[in-house]
Amino acid sequence: MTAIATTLRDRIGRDLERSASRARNGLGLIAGTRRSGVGMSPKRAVWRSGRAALYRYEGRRDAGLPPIVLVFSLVCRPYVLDLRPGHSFVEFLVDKGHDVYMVDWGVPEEADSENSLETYTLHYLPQIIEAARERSRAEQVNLLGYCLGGLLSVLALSAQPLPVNAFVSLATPIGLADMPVIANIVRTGLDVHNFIDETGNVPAEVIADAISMLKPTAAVVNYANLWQNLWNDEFVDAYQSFSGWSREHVPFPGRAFQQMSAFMTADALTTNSVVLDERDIDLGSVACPILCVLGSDDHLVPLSAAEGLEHVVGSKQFDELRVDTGHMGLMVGRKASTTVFPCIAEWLEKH
Amino acid sequence: MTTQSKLPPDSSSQASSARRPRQEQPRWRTVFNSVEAGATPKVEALVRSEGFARLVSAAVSVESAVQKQVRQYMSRYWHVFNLPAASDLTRLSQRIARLERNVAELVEASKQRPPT
Repeated sequence: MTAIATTLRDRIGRDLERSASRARNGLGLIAGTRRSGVGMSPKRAVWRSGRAALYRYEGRRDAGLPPIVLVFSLVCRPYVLDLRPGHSFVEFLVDKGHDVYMVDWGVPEEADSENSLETYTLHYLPQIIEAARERSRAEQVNLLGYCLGGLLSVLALSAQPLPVNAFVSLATPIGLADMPVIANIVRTGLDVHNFIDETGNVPAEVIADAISMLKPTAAVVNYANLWQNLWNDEFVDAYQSFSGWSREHVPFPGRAFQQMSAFMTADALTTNSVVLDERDIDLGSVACPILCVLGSDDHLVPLSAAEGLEHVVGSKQFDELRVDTGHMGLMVGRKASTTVFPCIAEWLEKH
Repeated sequence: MTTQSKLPPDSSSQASSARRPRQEQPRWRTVFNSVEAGATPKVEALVRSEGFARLVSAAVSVESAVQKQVRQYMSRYWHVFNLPAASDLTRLSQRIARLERNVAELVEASKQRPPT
């Protein structure tokens, strides 16, 4: 009888405590007073051109490996790679003694609407790699490209000789014709200018809508998860930082978007028919060792679109890591920190 | 010879998931999960279909055409009163953007020119 009373008392106590936490966190979220810090690892800008910037992270830098340059997508903010202290890929690498650089493409404005894929792959990336190499006094760098950042990296590596020791590709879309929903829409023959606004760019809201369309029920599921775990400070912190990031899309420069649509229509990367700056680009000229990291539940860049990399590049050494997770699960969450981060670090140490 | 290998996933992730106790689900969540599990595949199949793509494509085209018509009409209306329309401001801001691009190109060129 006493045991039942104790259990009941404990349960009531726990429920009351959770209700108080739930109310506190809920009010904090609604009022906007509850904020968690993102992109907190100390860093310094070492190169700038236009809106693009290259940041170098502070740390021991004693791993004795080439510096690593992280290249993120054009349509999202890159701080997701350094989302929260204790849950950050950048922090993980810095703690391992890597010399870490991250590219921030910035938020395109009207003046950037003419930025083409050439701007990023032939103009910015070679300068960025050179800046990192010079600053670290290294002969070569390691390159890590995520999603569209991976695509830009592959194009840059194919278009010119770059001092890159090894390349890590995360969820890089290669089979563009297999990209869900958007490839279908492009195939209908819709004039892509319809997506471009008066600034000459594709608005951030259109990017956000296109991404949320791929998983229409995700928003409802996320709210259900939040409601269920509103009492849990750690969960609410993670939710807030990640959902804040996922709402912060940036416009896509109109000219680059038109080129991407043309690539999608022609499935240009799979068929090796990429033309940049009026030159045929041979993806087979990429010869550095590659680690291709894929999420088997990736809804944004499905396996069919991402796994083609090994067939188009000419690298003699190609390793693949498949993780049972989604697109962002490769960089955020438990599987990222327990599987993806250590595997990437280990692979880089071997190359 | 091309070396292709599948890296083994870190075993610690499997170990930690095995140790983790299953969270007790409230009743509302169980109901929600069963509804969501039934609805999600159907909704996803719908948005990934060719028909949906054609529908979106048509909607975007119509919206774009309507916006163009409204802009032209409003522009004529404001010009009657000798006032600038949104399209005039857009043209101006596009000119400024072009100037900004030119300045950026000049700055870039001056950086690359060797000092005399």
